[in-house]
Amino acid sequence: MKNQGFTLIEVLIFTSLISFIFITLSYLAVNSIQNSKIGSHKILATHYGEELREVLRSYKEDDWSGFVASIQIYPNTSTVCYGPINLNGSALTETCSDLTCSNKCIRSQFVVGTVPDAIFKRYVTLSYHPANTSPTDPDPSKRNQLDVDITVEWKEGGRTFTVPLNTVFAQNE
Amino acid sequence: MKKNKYRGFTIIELIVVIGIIGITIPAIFGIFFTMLQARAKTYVLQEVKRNGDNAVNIMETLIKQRAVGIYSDQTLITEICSTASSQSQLNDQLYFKDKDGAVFYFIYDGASPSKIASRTASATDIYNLTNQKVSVESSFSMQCFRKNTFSPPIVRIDFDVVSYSPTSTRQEENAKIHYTTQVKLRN
Repeated sequence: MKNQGFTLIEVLIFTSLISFIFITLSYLAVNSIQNSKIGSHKILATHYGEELREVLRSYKEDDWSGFVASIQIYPNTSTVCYGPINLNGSALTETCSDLTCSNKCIRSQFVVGTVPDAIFKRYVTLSYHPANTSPTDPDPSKRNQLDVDITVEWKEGGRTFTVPLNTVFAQNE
Repeated sequence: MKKNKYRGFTIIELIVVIGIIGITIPAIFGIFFTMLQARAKTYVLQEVKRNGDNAVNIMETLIKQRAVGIYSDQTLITEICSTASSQSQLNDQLYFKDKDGAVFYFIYDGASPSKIASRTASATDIYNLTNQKVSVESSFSMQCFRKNTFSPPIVRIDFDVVSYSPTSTRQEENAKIHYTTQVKLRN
């Protein structure tokens, strides 16, 4: 044969190798882009969590009994959604019936964040600190510590991410 | 088949090869560019959050731990927010008196990149709360009020931190974070 070229097998092996390498590389690239996006969303989520923590702290420092009354910790735990916070008005809140707020905080007015990152759902679980307090104790001084578990949650690429932020509030004085 | 002394590629082969390269190279560079951009955005956002957190922390701690009174002038003569009715206006400059009777305050410095600075009575005593990579928007406000005459005054702080880079004009690498908090004077 005068015209020597590649056989079909050679071409097949070559193209499959090349395509395998390309698919791997593009997968890695897409993964890396996704990860850095998730990373920046994590930064924002942490910020919104900290913002809520500071605001709740200022509420409780301002007026402990009013704060406890406003969230109705009954019988001993309560989960509340927090929309965007504007200190000049009252914050938009909604009490959830379950601990993870799976069906709540989804209405558009509860979404936290600015476009194009308006994807965050923010809620806080408040419960009386079990170590030295009893939720049923009629003595109010025994109900002076609250466990505050703030969660910021968002969905991205079919997965749900959460940033938890836990702290304890104690009554001053 | 025509006999040819020079064996090489035909024009068709060359066009196909160059065409394929022409499609793949931009795609690869596009992905690469997107990767770099996403990374730059994360970095910028991190920088903005770091600076904002730092500024808010310092202001909160100083006001909470050190301030005993709020005044509307640097010489500490006219006290404001001393009763429930004397609320400060949105753009008022607040001056804080500390335990030793000295003044400290926070100013908005509009010189680019605009920043928040912590100051005392000494003219040289200036401490910037944010660095050169971010600027603070002019909506920065500090307001004091009091729920009732017997409770300590509360200071409300509000500001936006945005990324600052005089050379880059790329919109997608800009980040902005809003900070809002309120602090109650402890003393």
